[in-house]
Amino acid sequence: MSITTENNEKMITLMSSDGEEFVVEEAVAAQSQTIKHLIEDGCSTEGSIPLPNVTGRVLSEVIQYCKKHSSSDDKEEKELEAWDAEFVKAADDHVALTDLMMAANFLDIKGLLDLVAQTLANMITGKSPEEVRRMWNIKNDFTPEEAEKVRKENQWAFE
Amino acid sequence: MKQRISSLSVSLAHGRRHHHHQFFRPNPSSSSSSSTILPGLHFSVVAAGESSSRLVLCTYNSGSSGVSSNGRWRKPRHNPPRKYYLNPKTKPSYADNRRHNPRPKYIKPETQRQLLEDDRRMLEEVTLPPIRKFNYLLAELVRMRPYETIRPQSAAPKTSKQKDEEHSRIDAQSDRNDKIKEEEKNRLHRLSLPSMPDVVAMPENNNHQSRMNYHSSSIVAMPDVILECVLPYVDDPRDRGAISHQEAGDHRHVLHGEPQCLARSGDREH
Repeated sequence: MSITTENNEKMITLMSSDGEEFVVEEAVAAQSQTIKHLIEDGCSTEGSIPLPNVTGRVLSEVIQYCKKHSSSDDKEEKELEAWDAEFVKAADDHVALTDLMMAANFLDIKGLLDLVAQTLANMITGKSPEEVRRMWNIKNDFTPEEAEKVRKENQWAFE
Repeated sequence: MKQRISSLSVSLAHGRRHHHHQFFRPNPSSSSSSSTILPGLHFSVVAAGESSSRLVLCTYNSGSSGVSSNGRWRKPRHNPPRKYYLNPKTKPSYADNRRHNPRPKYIKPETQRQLLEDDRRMLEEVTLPPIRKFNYLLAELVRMRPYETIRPQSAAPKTSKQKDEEHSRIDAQSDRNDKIKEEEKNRLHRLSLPSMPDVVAMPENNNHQSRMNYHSSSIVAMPDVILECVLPYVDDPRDRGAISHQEAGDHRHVLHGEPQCLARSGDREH
């Protein structure tokens, strides 16, 4: 539902997959390219914008990020970087970060996607393939022949 | 008042694509009809991989398909055929010609938007549940569930003979795999390389679905999209193809879809 506040700021209602509703300013919601396009297409004139891929918990974090980044200026870049670092630190583990990343990818928020992808990449760096598999429950579906081929191609990694 | 909808198309998309709702005007000839949309409702679901899915709803068009408001067949109505006059004396006037063959009406974008809005309101009021609930219904139907367990599709019940055959096939396969693993370990031992982790024999799961990561017990199975997004940011100094932070800043969004090495040396080309 689009509401206009006293400051003439248009408000948008976002609905998560579990039915939670979040009323945010249009400028905040428009940080997401997906939502921005939905607004431009007139999908938010009546009723809220449903986000079936994002749960309420994750959506609240995303909104928190968008609010911070829509309100701060370019001058406050250092402060913003520090805030970003705290933001990803607050996410408990890689599972929460993975959820956040899926949401950022779906909502197409470039800054958040960069931030979370970099954090996850830092978590992966230095780990063995088996550790990474265990971390994310990735099934090893290589046949011995394929494994050997990959090993030969990436011999440098085992040196 | 209930009205017949000529067609309705709703598509839901994931990833970076958008939710898109498209509604068409009801057929003017059937606008006074009081029959419900549901008997003619036809569902077809097209799922296109993990990144997008689409659901389309169609209803019959009573005006052109020959189905009347009471559901019985009737002769379809057609526009009168275009007439050609060879004799200029019998040729009708321009006004007559236009009356029989009217030009399609131009509808202004604002009016089109208004019509769409009317249709949407009508949908909410009359035949279908509110569009929001409807959206959720569709979303539930088609959405991918990356974090939930993806189980192999249930097959038709098998006879005992088929089961025996399958068991023997699995046994033979596992024997073969054991032998291969043993040989592999011996070879790696000779090469003094660390042994690779055990490869699980998957006689039944060699289809595309088994390539998707799933875990039998718990919540998280990492979808491939995460790997695709994260891998360009992994910076291993030993990897000559790994990208630097500067390059990542320049190229990361290009790389999301298809991770690739920016710098390749000749010995890694195949």
